[in-house]
Amino acid sequence: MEAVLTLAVPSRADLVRAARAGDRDAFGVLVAPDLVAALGTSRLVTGSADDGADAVQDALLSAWQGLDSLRDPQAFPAWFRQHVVRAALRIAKRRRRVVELDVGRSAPDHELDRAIALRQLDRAFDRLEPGDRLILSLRHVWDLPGSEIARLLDVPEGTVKSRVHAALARLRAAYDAEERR
Amino acid sequence: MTDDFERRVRDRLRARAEPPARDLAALSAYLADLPSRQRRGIFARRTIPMSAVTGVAVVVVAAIGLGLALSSRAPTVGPSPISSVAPAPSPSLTLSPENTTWTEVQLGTMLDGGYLSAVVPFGRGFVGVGQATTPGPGAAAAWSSPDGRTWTRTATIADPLSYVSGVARSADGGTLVAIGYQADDRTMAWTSRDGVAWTAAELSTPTTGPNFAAFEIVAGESGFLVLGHYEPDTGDAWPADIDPLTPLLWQSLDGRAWTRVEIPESRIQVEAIAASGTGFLAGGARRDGSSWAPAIWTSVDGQGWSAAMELPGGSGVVDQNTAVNAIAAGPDLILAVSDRVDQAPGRVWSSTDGTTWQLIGDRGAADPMARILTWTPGGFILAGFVGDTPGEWTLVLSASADGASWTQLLAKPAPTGGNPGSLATDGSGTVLISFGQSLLVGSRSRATAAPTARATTDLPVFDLSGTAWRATSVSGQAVSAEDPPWLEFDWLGRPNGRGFTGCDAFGFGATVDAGRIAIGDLILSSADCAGPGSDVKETFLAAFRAAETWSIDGDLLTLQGSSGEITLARDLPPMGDPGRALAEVLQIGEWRIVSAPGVVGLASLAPVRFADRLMIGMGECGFSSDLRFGIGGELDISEVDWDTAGCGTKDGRPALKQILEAITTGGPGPDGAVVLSGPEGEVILGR
Repeated sequence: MEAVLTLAVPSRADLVRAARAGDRDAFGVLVAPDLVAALGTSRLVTGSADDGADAVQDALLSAWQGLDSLRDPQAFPAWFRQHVVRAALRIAKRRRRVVELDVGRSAPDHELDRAIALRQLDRAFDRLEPGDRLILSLRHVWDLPGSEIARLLDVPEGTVKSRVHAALARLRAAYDAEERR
Repeated sequence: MTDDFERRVRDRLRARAEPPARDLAALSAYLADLPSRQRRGIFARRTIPMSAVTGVAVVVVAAIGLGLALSSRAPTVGPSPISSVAPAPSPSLTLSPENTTWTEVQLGTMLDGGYLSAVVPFGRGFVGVGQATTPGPGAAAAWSSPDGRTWTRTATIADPLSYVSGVARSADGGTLVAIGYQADDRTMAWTSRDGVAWTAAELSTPTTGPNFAAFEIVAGESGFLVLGHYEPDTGDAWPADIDPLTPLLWQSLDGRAWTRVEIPESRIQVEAIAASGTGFLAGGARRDGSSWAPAIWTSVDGQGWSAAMELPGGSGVVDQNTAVNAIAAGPDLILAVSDRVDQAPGRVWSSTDGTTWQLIGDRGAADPMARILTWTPGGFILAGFVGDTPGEWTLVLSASADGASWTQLLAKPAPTGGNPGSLATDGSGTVLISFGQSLLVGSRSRATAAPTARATTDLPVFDLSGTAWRATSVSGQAVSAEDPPWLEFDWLGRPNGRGFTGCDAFGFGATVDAGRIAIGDLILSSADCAGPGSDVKETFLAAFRAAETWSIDGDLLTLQGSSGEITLARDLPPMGDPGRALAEVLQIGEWRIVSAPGVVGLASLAPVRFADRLMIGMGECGFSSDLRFGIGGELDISEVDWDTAGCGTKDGRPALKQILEAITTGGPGPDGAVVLSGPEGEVILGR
């Protein structure tokens, strides 16, 4: 005889209600699906692992404190991503843009070439404006569709495409410049 | 650079973004340790002050439209008709694939690794602005070019870590204004009369800080208009006098004194601005409920703005979530375009006055994403891209006279840099599109470049002042290279010049307008003609006296009229030659004689300027001299003639005359100086 186990999965509305009541675990469940991408995006936008972690912590705190302003529980993921975006941008803009080359010289030649190529790409990316780093991260790390990015940045959807396009163009130009160094 | 660039970017970003387990563990711990919500505000510990947390709520709620009532000021100004002043371009000037040749110019070496953000026609060529690598990384700088193909650094506009994003030329053609920011994050405009000396002016921002950027500037009869934006920060106090969706605009009559202006509506997004004959336009989107609707605003003076005019979509229903992405004003037509989004195709709208708009066409699914829309004497040009992967982007240029039918001028893999920054065209029909580290140069073939009387009134003025030309043919008949007819235009732009018929010297008065010329008085010397030029004297004189139009194609000047056509070649070494480069550099702005062997008191000497055949010491007690730029940097200065009236002679001027008249070569020196050399020693010219 088979045993049928039925689990009652709390809805997002239940989780938001519980979190508003002070349930940290419920809040943790709400943010969990986005934490890895949030951390990754923040690391890229701020250009630093520590700053990225700080940005996510700031976003967690501000979202936690601002739960009362969330009217539609179903909108929680996008709402939380908004907190992450703002926090990452705020920290990124307080940092200097240029990151110096630091390639391990003891690596074998072919490994060194690859490391240099990657580092050139990293340097080019790190030299972009925070807004460019953000929109590329939202597209390629968080893998968000244009409509969601438009909502996050509060711009028309058509603008997202052009901004991604422009950011990639600037990245390519910066990468070309790195290659010539 | 490979075709899978975006894939490499994606893979690399994902690899870099992968957080270590310890960071995730730290976040879990942080989540468990969040402060009690009941004690909100007390436990804002870490890096965020309480004011910032409050700011977060304001920004987020405003941005995602959850009901926070932002102050919404009712528009106070009705739609402003935007009239046009110039006639329509002649069909004979319309750009087409057949009459335009495109060349991609790599700028890396010429810019010494720098970056060209924008270009604009100016004087006899173009001025470009961007970032240079010297004197430090990211120094805002300017370059000049006679043709878009060769570029020479002319100025450092601001200290390193500055940025210049755009440039515009005043309606009268005499003033350049560049925009950007300084190393201290202040938003700036810089003005220049020559592309060499730049004067800074600050654009006021709602608060200080690095979050403001000016990124587009346009110029018209009503002055200059700059579009900027800011990005809200959660941690910073929100400016009390603006709302998050109010675009930043600045207006100035002269480029020096700026006023920050606002479109009197909230919850709008401005994507593009344009200048028309009598005003300005802004295009973008207006928040319409939970969506965005494409909209246009107009202004006569750049300060008072109309209410939004929403643009109709298909069947008269406004498109959702789209914006006007580009806008341009021609002499009698204004076009606006949007890009396609999931819900709606890209559109083209037109208007004759800026207030009444009609949908005139859908842009197809394969149409490029619009980046630049510009009106030129050859019609509207739309530059855009097709494709989603950088390495596979296709640049598409299209031209249209009416916005309804478009002719594809060019479709090619996107140049290095990928993203067009600006499009500029001069009176000769040359079109430049900047891509940062490369330029696309479009040149019209001579057969189609000759302007008609009607169309030439629209052309920007190619400054003929100070230029010298040697005739190569008169009414189709080649002239002798020995003692050919020649012309020189006054170097100060006064309506006169001098010339040679091949037999006689003459002086002339002339009214030179954009593309048009009318010869007035002509005083001819009386010579006994027996030289090789005697056979063209009469035909040359007849054609010259009756000349009605002029056009430039590279180094060729063509005068046309009822009595024939004269073709003349610029009396300078060919483009690309070191001697030509020397001439181009020396003809930009003013120079000071910094040192000359054995000559003292140079600091009191007024600046010198150069034309094709003249070197002029400015001011009282100055001098004039004949000049000839030769192949390879050879330089011949003769007849240095000092203005001695009331100036005395107890100084180094006779010695300097001797040194200058002995000069044989010239070339670049250190730090932007030019070194003139001869048997009497070196003369150093500096700014």
